[in-house]
Amino acid sequence: MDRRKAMRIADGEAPEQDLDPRLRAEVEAFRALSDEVREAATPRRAPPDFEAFFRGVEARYEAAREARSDRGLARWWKGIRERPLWWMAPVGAALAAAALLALTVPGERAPNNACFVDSYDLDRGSVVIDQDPDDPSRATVIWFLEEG
Amino acid sequence: MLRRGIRVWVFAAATLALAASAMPRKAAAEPRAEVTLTVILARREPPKLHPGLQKMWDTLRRSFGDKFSFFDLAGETSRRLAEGERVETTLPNGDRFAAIFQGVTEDKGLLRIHLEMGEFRTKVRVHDGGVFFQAGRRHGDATVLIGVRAALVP
Repeated sequence: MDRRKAMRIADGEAPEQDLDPRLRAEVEAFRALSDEVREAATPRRAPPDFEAFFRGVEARYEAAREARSDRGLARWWKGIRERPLWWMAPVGAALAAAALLALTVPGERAPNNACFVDSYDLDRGSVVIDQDPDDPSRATVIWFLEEG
Repeated sequence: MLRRGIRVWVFAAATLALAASAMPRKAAAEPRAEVTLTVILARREPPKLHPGLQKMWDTLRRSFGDKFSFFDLAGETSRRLAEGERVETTLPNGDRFAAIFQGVTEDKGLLRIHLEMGEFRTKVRVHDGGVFFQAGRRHGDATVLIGVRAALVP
């Protein structure tokens, strides 16, 4: 009976007043036992090491990425070696286009000053046409020579 | 009702087609030329080239290098001309000099230029951008050279 009363007092269900030493010892013993049980029942887990977790994930991701990159480079190089037309055709076309442009686009050229005098009309004096048919860059000069 | 609607639409389409055909068509773009007259006083010596003639130096040297070494700029006139229009300048001796743009030849695309200076008339054809000279008039101890440059403009 005293033990049940001590349990109730330890659980806070009964008032803890004017206890005789034996009952108080019982109450203290129950409280100590409750604390022990509560502590044993509480899970003691350390927080997970997220830093290590992410370091692992990153390491695996990096390894996978490098492997993928190596595989891509190898595949690309293999394609170039096995199918030279893949790169020779566009490079050849670009070279041909550049050569065509260089040949067709006019650069700094001397102006064509070739001039054709169709007719002249004068009442006095004379006209001399000074031109060099072999050198179209040389300008024609129409000399009007007044008499007297 | 449907037939009447169709008739209205056909009439409207025919009216629009008639109006479109009656509208004046856009005329083909007539050629325009920029004609520049450069008046130069030339002497045998002393050697001189006016700064304004530096761009013409190669042409002057090739055309007059054996006759003159002194080139002074007396004036420059430039104008964009439609067919039949003229550009004029007054020479140092008071004479008037005119160049008239008379269009472009169909076969080779040469520019037709007519020159007028007093009683002297001449007709020439030049390449697009080409230069030629009229020379011979005297002004003091100098010879008057008139450079004519004609170039098509868009």
